[in-house]
Amino acid sequence: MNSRSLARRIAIYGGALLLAFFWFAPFVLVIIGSTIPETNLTSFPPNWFEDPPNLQTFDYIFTGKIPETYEQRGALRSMISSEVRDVPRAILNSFVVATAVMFINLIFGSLAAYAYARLQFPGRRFAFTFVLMSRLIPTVAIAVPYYLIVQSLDLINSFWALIMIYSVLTLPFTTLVLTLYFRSIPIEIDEAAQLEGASPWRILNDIGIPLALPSIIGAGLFAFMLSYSEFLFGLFITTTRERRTLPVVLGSLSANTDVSWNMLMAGIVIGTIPTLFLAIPVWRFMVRGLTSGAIKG
Amino acid sequence: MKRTNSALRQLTRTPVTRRAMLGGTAGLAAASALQLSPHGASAQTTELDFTIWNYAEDIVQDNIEIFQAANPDVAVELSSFAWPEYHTTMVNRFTSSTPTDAAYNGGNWLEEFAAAGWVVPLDAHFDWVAGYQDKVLPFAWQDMTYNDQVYGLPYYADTITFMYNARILEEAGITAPPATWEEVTEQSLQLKEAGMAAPFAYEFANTLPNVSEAFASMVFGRGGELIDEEKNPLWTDPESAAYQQLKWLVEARQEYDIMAIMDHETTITPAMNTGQHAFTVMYNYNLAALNNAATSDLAGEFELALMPGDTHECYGFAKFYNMTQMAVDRGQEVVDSVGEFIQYFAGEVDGSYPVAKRWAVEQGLGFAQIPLLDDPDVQEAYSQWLNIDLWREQLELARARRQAVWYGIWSETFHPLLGQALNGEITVDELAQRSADEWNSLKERVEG
Amino acid sequence: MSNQQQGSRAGIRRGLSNPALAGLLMVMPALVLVAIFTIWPVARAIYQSTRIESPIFPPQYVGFQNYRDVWGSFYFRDAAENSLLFAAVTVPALVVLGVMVALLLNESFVGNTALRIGMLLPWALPAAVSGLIWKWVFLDSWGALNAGLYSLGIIDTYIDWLTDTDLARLAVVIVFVWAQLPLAAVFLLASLQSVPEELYSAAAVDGASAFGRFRTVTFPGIRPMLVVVALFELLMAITNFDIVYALSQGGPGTATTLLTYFTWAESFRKLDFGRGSALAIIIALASLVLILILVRAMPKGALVEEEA
Repeated sequence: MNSRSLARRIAIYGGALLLAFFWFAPFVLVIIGSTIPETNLTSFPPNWFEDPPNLQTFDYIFTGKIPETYEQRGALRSMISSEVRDVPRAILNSFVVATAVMFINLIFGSLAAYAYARLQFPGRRFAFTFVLMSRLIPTVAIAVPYYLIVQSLDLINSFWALIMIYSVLTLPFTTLVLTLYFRSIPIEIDEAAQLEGASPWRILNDIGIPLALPSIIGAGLFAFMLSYSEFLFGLFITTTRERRTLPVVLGSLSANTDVSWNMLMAGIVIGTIPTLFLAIPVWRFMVRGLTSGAIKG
Repeated sequence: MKRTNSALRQLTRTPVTRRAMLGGTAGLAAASALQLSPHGASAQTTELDFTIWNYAEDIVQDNIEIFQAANPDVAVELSSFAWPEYHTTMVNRFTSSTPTDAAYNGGNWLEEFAAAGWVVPLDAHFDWVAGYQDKVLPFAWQDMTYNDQVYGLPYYADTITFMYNARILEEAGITAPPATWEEVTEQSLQLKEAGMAAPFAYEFANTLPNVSEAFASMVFGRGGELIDEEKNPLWTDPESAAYQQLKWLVEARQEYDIMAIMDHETTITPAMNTGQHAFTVMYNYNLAALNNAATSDLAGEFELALMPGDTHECYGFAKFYNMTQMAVDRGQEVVDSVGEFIQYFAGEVDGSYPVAKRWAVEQGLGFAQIPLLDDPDVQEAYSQWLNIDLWREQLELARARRQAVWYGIWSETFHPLLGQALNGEITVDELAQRSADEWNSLKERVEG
Repeated sequence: MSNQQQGSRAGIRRGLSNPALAGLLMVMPALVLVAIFTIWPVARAIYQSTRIESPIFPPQYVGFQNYRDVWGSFYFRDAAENSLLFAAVTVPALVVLGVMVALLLNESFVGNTALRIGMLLPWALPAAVSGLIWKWVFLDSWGALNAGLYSLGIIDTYIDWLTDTDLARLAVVIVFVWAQLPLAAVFLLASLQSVPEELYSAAAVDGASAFGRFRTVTFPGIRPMLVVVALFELLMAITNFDIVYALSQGGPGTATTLLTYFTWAESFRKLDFGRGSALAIIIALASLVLILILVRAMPKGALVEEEA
């Protein structure tokens, strides 16, 4: 008996370690990479830790103080990119846009979902199917028409354009998930309220939303994540440094000759920090909220 | 064959100009508040929309400030896009008529943009353009010319050159860099025997424009061309320099195993810095990056060599400023402002070329303006990382490639095919044949 | 307030309380927004797919020629094969690994919570960024993986992770699984935890082995969620673009070109918007067919059915 449970423990801890290594290793690598001068990163045979790690890359990004390695003799000091200093602002941009999209999903997504789940109105089935099917066509094919729509509204390079587009991209999924969830709430509760003469709005407000709140917030956070990570439209719509979102900036940095890799990694580390803070609420709300709806019934 | 984009325009909604929109949309007031509005367009200032790829954007912005201080009646609004996506976003921008008056461009897309009618010949609008011809390096002038008209003036010109690690060669007992591609193979095999896994670092990625350019450069080194004067492909002939070079590339990878492939100069440069590679072919300014002590332990070891081959010619190109059809449509005032703009940024100002010189000295970028070759500041900056005399020799052997409107589009098929050949999935003959088929079909579609 | 006003107010309120009207009002905002960005763009895409739309060719109507060209091109064949292969490998892998990870996380051990929280990181990271990070890991000449393996003495020459056909494909699969596994595992874990304890005890009483318990209790309990995860990951696999773009750009050759990447290349690289649109329509139709097949094939009650 003992050996079996010992073997079990070993298997469990072994699996956990393997998993932790697989998932976290890249992050650890990036953190390490951001603190090592590029000359060491490219050493062969690999000798990364020849010099002690330093935070000069981060210093440069936030304050513009040029790292020591550039102050050496023979270093072309001006060949250091200022683009990487856009990262903090890009994070803010992505954050603002994603938050707005989240709220749009929270409000309009749950409104629509409740209606699809509970109310009868003409064209209900058609509208629901339409909204879901709208996501079938690859975004690449509609990128140009979206751009044209945005341009005709003179919203190129504006956050509103991104917010609109990302909402369109996320609402279908939010609607689907919340509709399923609302459906799973026993209809008796609604009927009891109806007997008391409550309007659909009242039922939604007093019953639907409170019961579905974890699910709703979860769906909203999901929409946040998707908007934060979006790359293609961010690329097309933003035309100035002030507006660029994080994925676009990081992608651009990776192709910039004046950006050394340790600088790029520092940018990535900084860009990852908001997601770190989000991991906990996402876990709590999204997981519980999303899964309980889908598995009932 | 000059075509306007009017047909395409019919398909798109009528674009509403920015000024009209700002006047009429109270509802978007919130959105406007979010937008930064650095320049209040007064009745007298002309607003110019200028797009660039985002290389050293802060220096460009600084140059703009200097220009505006000297020309207070012009306000420049800068938009920038990531370099790998510049072509895509500009195509998008032009087809949807987003206001653009001046734009960066490169020779590889000039034919496309000119044939589509998006950019206009400068010499048709400004008489001072012709005067620059003998002040600009010939290959750069060629690169900016389409259908015998000049479409731009350059801020940057460069060559794609052959670079090598002199210390590695010396330690291996090799006395001189390779003068032919056969010698490249020989020396690589020698280094390989001494323990270097892949002496030749090759910059290759499906979507990288440089790939076709570098290929052209290598072919020029052999004294060859990619296409003949009627724009027919030359590489299907096994005797041609182009075919020979395709063969060399594929054999280097498949047969001799002396080639390492990396997707961009930002990965090749650090790779060269590991000391595991001896040779490469890249844009010349990368030599400055290679010899930069801030990021490279091996700084100072890298040298330029004339492009291997019979004639040592190489590919030269220019990046320049275009004026758009949209600017012309906006009226003579705008055209004049763009003219002032281009003159400052690419032309002679008080006997010098401030913008190009600044790029050369501060960033190590090449330039097209001949007088700068003798400028002491430039020479001092360059000598830190480059053998100037050799470089001047290479410059004289540089030329632009023959143009074809579908060249850029063709290269999007050529690259994956080349990738497949490098992989051993198809043979050199198949590569030559299929890419020629694609070329010919495109040629037929365009020329009718 | 006069009786009349009170009456009309009540009338309005009664009108708004009408479920049908309320329903319409509730769905309108989202519906209108989606409609604006769907109807015209899709119509335009369909229209363009029947024409030659490119900056350098004269525009003209060509009927189904674009569809024929796309279908017959080597690029399309390779991309379609790659996408199918990719989905066929990653979706089962994610489901199986997801279950295994979920089972693991269901056990109690030191660090369980930390692992659960931290594991959402890979998924929460923008795909474009993940692609970059892993690009550095997999780089041939100085990537982290090669450096690590070399330092440990496991290899003595660096491996061409990104420039060998099979290895490059493996790299893309690894990155995709790395990014998606947390979500799959989390969904399955939640499902796992909702399986009632009594069923396990009953099975144990019946003398079932660990594997037997899994087969008779666990598996049926989580089956609906397995289907959901499989469908979701299938959708993710089909629409995956950012990772390929950042990691391998479809190379080497066409080894890692997926259909989405190919669509993007046709439109924005080769500037052939006609063919790009045709390709997109083909993909949309194929996805539709695929989803319909899967929905039909799903066990009853796996998802909550919509009432007729």
